[in-house]
Amino acid sequence: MMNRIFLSASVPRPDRGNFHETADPFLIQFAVRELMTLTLGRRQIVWGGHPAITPMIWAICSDLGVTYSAAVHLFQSRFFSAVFPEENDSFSNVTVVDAVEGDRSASLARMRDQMFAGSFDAAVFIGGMEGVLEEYELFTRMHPNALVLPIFAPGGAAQELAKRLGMTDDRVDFARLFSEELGISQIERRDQV
Amino acid sequence: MLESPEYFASRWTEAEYGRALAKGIGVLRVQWPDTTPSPVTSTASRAELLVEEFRADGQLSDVAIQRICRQLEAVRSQSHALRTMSLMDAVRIAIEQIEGQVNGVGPGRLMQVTLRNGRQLSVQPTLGVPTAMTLQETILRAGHDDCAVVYNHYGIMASWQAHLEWLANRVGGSRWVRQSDAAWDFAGWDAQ
Repeated sequence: MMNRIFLSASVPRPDRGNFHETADPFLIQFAVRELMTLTLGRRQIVWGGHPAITPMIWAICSDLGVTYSAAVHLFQSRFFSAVFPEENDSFSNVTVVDAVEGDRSASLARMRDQMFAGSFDAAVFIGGMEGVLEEYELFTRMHPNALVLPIFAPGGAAQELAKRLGMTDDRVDFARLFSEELGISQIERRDQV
Repeated sequence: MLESPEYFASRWTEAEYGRALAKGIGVLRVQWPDTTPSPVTSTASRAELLVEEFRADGQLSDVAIQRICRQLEAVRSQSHALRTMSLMDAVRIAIEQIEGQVNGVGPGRLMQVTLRNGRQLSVQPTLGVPTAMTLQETILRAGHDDCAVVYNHYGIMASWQAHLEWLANRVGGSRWVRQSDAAWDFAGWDAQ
């Protein structure tokens, strides 16, 4: 039984590197939406909150029943406290990790160490920038037996990672893709976490 | 959405925005001149307004409107295509998982389905907020009462969903199926 899934998802910014050149922001949004619709209540989703993603996940939780928000574990570094989405307050399972003062990179590393503690069965990567590649390296080091699933079609760093791993299928039927790859049946009850 | 400087200061506009994302609706963010886009909108497509695109009377120039309309249509059509595909695939996955069969798709994307127990159903995936008209058209198109309308319930008021259930009970034979629970609902139908 796959119980915890790490989600690494963000939208590449035009002012940081060239990951935005392959990124389709709408496909990133849609893929995250399909993943959450499939998994909520069936597996615990762990992710480092992103301001563009968190409000959507909150809305989906609320439409599937607010109690499902307990099935999500959100990690945030206090380094980014100025842009925390208000939805953070709505989740019952938020871990805010202290920043390393004035050091963005060290603050992220500290948050990721805590975020990846415990057992994981899979990690899903959607869109993103250099952080996706960093999280992939750390995640696979800490959880060598976990399934790693970079999604090609939405582009960004996850697409680069998918190419590196030889996973270049650009399918956009994300619900079926996640169901098949993560082994989650849509008949499963939503009371498993 | 018109991202004015105070757009996300309102909890209602913020909630509305999150709901649109949850429903898989593509968003075109039209950015007011000289404003900084909110990081919340990074999944949206962007159209930036320039000061010189406003006429003396405060109206947008025709060129700017045409540019925004072209972008809007690109966003709308991509969103519509993906949402439709997602709905239809949800039906296919649900039917496969209960060992039924999708026999084909007809006019208006009406899907002909056979459940494991041999029961024949007509399944109508529908975008947006379904109404009594949706049910009527589905039954007329199918030519029989064993119909299901599959829809995405995100953002639809609970009272409206209750109304839909009331209506289906009154009509008999037909029912509404939420996309997120399609396999579960069809399994229940199969067991009858």
